[in-house]
Amino acid sequence: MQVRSRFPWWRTQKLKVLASLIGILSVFLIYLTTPTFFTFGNVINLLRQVAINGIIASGMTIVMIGGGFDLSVGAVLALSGVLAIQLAKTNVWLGMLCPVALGAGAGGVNGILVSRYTINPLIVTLGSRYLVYASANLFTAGFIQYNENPAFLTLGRSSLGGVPTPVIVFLSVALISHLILNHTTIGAALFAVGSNERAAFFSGLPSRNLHTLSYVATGACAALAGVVLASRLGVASPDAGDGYELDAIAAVVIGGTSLLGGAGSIRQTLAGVLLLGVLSNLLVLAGQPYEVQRIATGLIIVLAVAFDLYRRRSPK
Amino acid sequence: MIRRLLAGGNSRRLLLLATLVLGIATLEIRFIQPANLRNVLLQMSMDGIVACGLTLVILCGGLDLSVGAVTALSGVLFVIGLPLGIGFAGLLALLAGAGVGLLNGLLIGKIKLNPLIVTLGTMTAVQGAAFWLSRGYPIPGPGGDFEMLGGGFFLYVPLPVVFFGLVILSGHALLQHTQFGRDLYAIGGNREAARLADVPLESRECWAYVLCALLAAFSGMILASRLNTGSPIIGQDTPLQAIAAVVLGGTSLYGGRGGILSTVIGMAIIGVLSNGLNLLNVSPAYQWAIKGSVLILVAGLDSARRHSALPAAQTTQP
Repeated sequence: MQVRSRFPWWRTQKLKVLASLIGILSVFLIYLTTPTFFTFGNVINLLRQVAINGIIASGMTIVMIGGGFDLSVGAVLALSGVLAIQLAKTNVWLGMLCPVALGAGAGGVNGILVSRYTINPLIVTLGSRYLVYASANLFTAGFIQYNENPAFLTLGRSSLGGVPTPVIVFLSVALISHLILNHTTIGAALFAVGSNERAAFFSGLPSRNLHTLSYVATGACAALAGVVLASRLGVASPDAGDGYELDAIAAVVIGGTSLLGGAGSIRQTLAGVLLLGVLSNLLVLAGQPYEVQRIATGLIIVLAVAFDLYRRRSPK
Repeated sequence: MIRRLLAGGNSRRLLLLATLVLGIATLEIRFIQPANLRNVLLQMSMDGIVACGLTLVILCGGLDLSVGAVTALSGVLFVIGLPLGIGFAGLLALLAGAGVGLLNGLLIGKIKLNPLIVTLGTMTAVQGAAFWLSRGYPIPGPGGDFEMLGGGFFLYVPLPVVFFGLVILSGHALLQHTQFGRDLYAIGGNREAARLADVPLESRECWAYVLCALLAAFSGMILASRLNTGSPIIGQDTPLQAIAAVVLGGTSLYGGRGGILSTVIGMAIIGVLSNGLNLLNVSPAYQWAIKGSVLILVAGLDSARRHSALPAAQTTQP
């Protein structure tokens, strides 16, 4: 038997109605003002632009659902980029896989420091951010690295049936993360650890190992993003990653994943990534300068959290 | 004040600082020449003022990532506003900072949004505003009197250092000897208890963010005057640097523990390390590695002391 709500449908579904209205209205407005937005070429371009941030944000979602946090992803991206470029000079596969393994390792160190030594994740990943940037700079002696080997550039520049490979990588990473989070015991346990760590610990869940694993996933995702970016550009700089960590966090948070852990999903993060991507794409098409994009992004972030809070407080 | 300086974790950190100073001085005698020590103080003053403001926010359990962007915005406004008179330009820069702080404070204190996200958003927006105002280029200042704020001296002491000293003294007095300061500790220590004890949470938090942003704006003015430029790209690394200084000093990111003096010690450790490693010709990459390791090590030792009796992992949120 269906339990009837005390409120009429238009009140309980108010937000859904409002959101769909805003959605339809904005699609219409976009169509009127910038018709080029809906061309196949532009949509593919948009997806290609968000691929890097999407890969990082998928990993960030995993760590944030577990109640953690990672500021070192930008640095890991920079390190894995220069590493990929250099290693691919000897063997292309080595250049693609080795950085990802190293990123996973860096994430593992973060995870162990956070979970075994109970240090605040913000401090650990702030510290490891410095350490990883340092190793990227030591590895390259501070110079930008080039590799124009066509075999290495395939990952970033080729496309399959009209869809660019980075987009395919991004969607596969998102799909795998989604499956792990929602259809495996590890995923369910991670949600439990994120929502109440002590309860999870006393229920016999290996909460420390789960925490560490979530950081490993984030590190690997960030490193994979670095490899894809390096392969797309053919160039990598040891200082390249600044700002990626905050973009990824913004996408995750706009999607509605809680900073307190225990709630969230890859689907929501995808929505956040796409929203940020569409916004900057539209502003570029409208000929707006970079600074207007920054202002708009900032406002969207604040509006998204405010909306999230409003949704949680409104009648169910 | 002296007693507090030597209390608890501070004494261990002072020991670390003293070891660093002695170690670096043994390796490189130029380090303890008065001119260099003055340089160390000058270099840490700007970030130190920001870190003092951030301490207030972190003490009541918050966080402010927008301080660096505010530094850039106030520097740009300070230079742009100059045709209206230097006093008015300064006022404009400070008002802009206070406005950003008020916005942060209202969104976090009153509407109860997560500080990390709100200040991430305002940081992005304020950076955009600084770029928009300056059209993306650094704006040169007129020199002359404009450079007094950052380049002047008071009894052989550089003015930024004097300001830093004043901020430390007044911040310490505010935290230890006023109702406002004690309330910040109460809020950070146990929010629910503070609410039951009738602490006006919303206005206290709001004011903490306003003060933090004001100090960041002031630091931006000093920096603009010292460089004789209003640049929209300064301050991008400031929030992380300042958080590192606050945490290195021993102020807890969960709120309730720490103080201005702790932050000063943290800032001094960073300042001495940077200057000393520069004098010792250590490359920037190794400097980052050393700073990162020191940060994790100090935080790890703290956590080991705190948690030595607890069985379960207690990782919680930033």
